[in-house]
Amino acid sequence: MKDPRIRMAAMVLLSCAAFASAEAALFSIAWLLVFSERRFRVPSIPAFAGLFAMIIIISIISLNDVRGGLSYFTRMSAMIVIAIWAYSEIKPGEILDTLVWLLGEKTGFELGLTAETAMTEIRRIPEDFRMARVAIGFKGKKFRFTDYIPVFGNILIITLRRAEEHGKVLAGRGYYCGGTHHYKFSSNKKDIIGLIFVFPALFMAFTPLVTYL
Amino acid sequence: MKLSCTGVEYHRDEFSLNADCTFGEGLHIITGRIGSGKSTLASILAGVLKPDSGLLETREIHSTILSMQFPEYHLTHMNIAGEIESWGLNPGVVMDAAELSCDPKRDPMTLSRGELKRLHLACILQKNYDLMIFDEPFSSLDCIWKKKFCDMLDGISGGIRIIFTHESKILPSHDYRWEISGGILSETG
Repeated sequence: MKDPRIRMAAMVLLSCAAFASAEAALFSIAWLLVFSERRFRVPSIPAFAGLFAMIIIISIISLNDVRGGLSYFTRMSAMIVIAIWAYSEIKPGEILDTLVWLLGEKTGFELGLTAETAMTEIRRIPEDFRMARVAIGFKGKKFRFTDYIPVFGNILIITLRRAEEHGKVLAGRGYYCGGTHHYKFSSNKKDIIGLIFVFPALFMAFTPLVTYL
Repeated sequence: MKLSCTGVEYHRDEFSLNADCTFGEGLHIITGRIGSGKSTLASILAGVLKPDSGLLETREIHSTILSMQFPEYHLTHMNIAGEIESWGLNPGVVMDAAELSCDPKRDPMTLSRGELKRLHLACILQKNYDLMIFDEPFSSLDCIWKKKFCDMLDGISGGIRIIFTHESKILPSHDYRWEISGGILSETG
């Protein structure tokens, strides 16, 4: 998908649909396989595995619930896959472009800049994690499961500090609020068709609700 | 004891690094401009980063340490005492060496960058390594501590010690000086 506006719209709508219904969640996965470039790159495989492990545990615990653990597992897994796809496809500057187009040069610019800063920091997490593992290796120790808590705790603090420094640099350069930004988008026929095919997922998700009401 | 690079090359986009060198026992200073590849070479010499081509050979080196520029990466425990013990060291001795008088149960991430650097360097210098590689050890240190670090390094005999730095005024007495310029490492003195 070339146009980030369509990609982000698809991401939001598919996420909502996948959250609401297991059938829509499966449809969303099928949609990704057909319309996306099928790039799935996670910022941290251990964090991703941990997230999946949590979903599996909750699914097993709620197996006897009304909606069932299987439905929960399908919906949550689909949402994670959608998030991974969105992360993999997004290019630096696209969130700022889209939000300025959508919300203007004040609110859109503010939110876009914040989101771009967050994305920059998220992209650095794998390297931070790799360095932490290297450091543990130099202490003559193997990386154990219990090391995840202090290592990721430290990475979180490092990330927040870097973001704070970034904010101070911007403020020091006179940044106050909003800004001028010239965006440029290009879309093709596949983008439009992809967007149209998002609506069946929404239909699948919300028809039972409408029928119920 | 020897560390040698034969035709070592590393390329990323427009960046390139070439090293053909031998590091013997003693203290080596490697300088270069920002982005010249100092941290990259430090990682290659420590065996953390694999070069695209070339050969890295070590002789009689049984223990290696890479001190990374950012001391936060070395933290694996959530209190100072635990962190020091993870190096196999006595917290009291190291805290004295680092001139830290705070509570050993304190989270090391609440220390200032300079204090953290002192703690980290004190841990490394309390141990014996055949190959010690320091990436920007002087960053975040004040002049007093830069001098102290130099004295500590001077007190170490034997082994290969390599310092990658921008620092030009306060340096330990060194045996060899190198420079990375235009992507090539060369000996300058």
